[in-house]
Amino acid sequence: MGQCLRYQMHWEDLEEYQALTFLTRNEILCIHDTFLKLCPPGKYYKEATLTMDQVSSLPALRVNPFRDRICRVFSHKGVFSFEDVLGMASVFSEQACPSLKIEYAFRIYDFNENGFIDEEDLQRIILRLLNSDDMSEDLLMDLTNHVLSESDLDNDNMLSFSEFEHAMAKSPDFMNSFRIHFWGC
Amino acid sequence: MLSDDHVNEIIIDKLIASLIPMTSRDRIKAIRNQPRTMEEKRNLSRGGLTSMTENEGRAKALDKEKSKQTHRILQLNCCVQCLNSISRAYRRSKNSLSEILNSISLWQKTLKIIGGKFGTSVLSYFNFLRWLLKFNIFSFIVNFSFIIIPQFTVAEKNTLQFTGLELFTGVGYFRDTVMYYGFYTNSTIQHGNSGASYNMQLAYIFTIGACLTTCFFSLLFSMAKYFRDNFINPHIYSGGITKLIFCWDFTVTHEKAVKLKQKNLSTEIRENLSELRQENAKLTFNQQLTRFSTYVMAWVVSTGVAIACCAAVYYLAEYNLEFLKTHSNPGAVLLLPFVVSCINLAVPCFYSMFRLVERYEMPRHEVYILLIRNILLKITIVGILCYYWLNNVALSGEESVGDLLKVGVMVWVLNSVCFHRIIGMQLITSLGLPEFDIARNVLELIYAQTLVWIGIFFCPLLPLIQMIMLFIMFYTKNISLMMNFQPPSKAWRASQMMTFFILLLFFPSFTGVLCTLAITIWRLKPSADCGPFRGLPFFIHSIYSWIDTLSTRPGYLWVVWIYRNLIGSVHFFFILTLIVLIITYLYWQITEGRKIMIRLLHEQIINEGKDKMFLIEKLIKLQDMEKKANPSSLVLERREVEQQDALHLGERDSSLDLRFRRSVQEGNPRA
Repeated sequence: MGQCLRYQMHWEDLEEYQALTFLTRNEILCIHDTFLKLCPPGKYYKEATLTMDQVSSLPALRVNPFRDRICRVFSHKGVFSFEDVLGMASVFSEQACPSLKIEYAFRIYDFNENGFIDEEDLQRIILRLLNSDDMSEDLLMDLTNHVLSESDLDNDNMLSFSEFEHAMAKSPDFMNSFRIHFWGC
Repeated sequence: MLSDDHVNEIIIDKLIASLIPMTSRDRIKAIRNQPRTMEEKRNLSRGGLTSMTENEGRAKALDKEKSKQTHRILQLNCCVQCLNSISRAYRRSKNSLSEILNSISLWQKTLKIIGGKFGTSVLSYFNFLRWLLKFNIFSFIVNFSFIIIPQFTVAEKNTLQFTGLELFTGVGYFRDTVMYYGFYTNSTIQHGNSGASYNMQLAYIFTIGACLTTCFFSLLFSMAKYFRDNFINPHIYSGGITKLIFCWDFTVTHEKAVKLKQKNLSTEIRENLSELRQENAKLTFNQQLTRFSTYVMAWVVSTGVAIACCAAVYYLAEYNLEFLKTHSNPGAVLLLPFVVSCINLAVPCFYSMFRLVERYEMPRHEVYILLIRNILLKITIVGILCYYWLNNVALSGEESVGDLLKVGVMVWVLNSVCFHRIIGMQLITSLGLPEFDIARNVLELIYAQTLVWIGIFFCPLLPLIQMIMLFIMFYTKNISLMMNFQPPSKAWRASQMMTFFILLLFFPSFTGVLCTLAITIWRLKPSADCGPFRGLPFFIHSIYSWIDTLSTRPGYLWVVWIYRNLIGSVHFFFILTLIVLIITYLYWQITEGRKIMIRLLHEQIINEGKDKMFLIEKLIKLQDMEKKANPSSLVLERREVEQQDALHLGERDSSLDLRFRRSVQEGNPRA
């Protein structure tokens, strides 16, 4: 079965994927293998889709606190096509450009999808990050206010994309931590 | 009222218009950087036939323009075409080269696993280890090719016996091997009657010089790069808590590690918050006094202990000499290194007990103070030993004593490197401290590398030993990490730590080594009956005599000129220093100017935000007034109804309005 999987992708498609994403040849082929292992057998890889649960249970995403948001941001109409998975891997790869990472990080952290990271989003992020039940209301409010006072430049109590970009753009810690290795090889 | 699709259409059209005049390479890059789905990117790259644009005519026009563009390109010089194809081939080869390098990169897979389990801060230690390994591999290869292989061709037979103890003491059998500088010939090697000659003296000094110069420049560039990335660019606004919240480490894939990380993050956030709150807390005068006096006392005690250790080492070194003269047991040479290693292990543990007495507001300060004390201790001990060795070799006239001393130093170097690791690991794990302390481990690495650099002039095989040691270190640390599974509880900022480590490596270590070597080469008398420099009054005379021989040959006068006027003159270095200082001052002024600019721009942003809110409020008030002015008009025209709906929508969803405005605005700079 391994042999058939690899030859399903045409050379021109591989070249195109290499041009349109930040992934290397090997990485694309590894993701192709993983994708075919998960999708129902016999289907052409360009038509097969994976559900959000299947993608959430990939070893790379299984314990990530933000896996549901990642799946929501990168899927279309609730399912993942092969190109969606490639797009996701490309954004999280090492070679991706910072502006792309920041854009998608903003989308992931915007829980209520109103185009801004407001207080409600910040509180949900903090609760996900700390995952503890003994988080007092005061501490949460305190923390939210501190974050906003540090990064909110126009004092409207929410972080717009520009403010988020400004806070993260020059931070090498962000670039190094916003990475996921999807392939098992 | 703009709809979502309409806005998107405008953005895509602008994007396509901006992509057309770009070269194909830039176009590919620009499309790749777009945060869009694969389908949209593919359509963009194929010339704009998107499913969203209903305007086929417009798409055709774009296509036509694109073909006109390609026609124009064909009419260009064939030189430009050649250049284009060369650059494309170069890019392709660069890509494949980087892929090959990635696949053969050492320990790539293991490092990924470590990063996934323990996070980026522990990974930085292993990256640092790998970086040091590259240095040593390079030094070893250079030494091997230029010094050791020629020496092998004229090697004499080794008549001494090999017992097992040599692996630890380094004397005995090894004394007559390539490991020690005494073994090297001082002659000019010549093979055959007309073969090229190979001056061993010059080769020796130039090879070691080349190793150290490469290390120097590589350190300098790495330091500058890390410094620029971590300290200059992230400016005053990269606040601590924001980073903690948004820089969750996505590379961690192990469940236990994630739970630990969450716990650590919670601790760190609470600490940071308390730090911020305590900035405003004021202590009473009495409390301040007591705290100050405990600090002073702690520093006095720690400095006193360091000085006592240095004095002990100095007297032991002196006593060691007589001890070695009277006792001929080969194992006796181990005494000095053993004592030094014990000091280096015991005293830091003692220092960390000060924590019970001293109270710092920020736990971060505590760790920094501990680090500084450890560094001071180690550097002073190394310094004392070097000083002792240099002084005594200069004063003593006896060759055999000088020899023995050099051998003794090498032994000390080797054994400190070995002992430290072996004993250190056993002791620390038996004391039940299973935590992976990044700072301590990195300091050990830096210490060992300093010793290697000091010893490289007299023992050219030292990089090989260090390489073997680093390999062993990597695997033992890896195994101990996997078994204990205790990542550090203090979440270090990995990238800033790397900068700090490299800075440490450069300033105390490397510059100290350079000073020692400079004193050796310029002031010490080489031993008269062994080594490649035997018979010369100073080491540097080998270069002087070479320059003298060159000045007799007319073809090489330019080398002599460079030597006399650039390297040998004070004016040149003065001018160089002046230029460096001026450039540094200019950069500093630019940074200051940018800080002022940032502050002014921030104020401007706040003011614009206030203006925006003011205008929106005014708009809403005007709409209200208009509504009140036409109160009960039952018959409304359809257009007016639509308008009113739009106004109502605008009133209620002003945030939605802002979002669309934002997306149009963002579309513009990106397109």
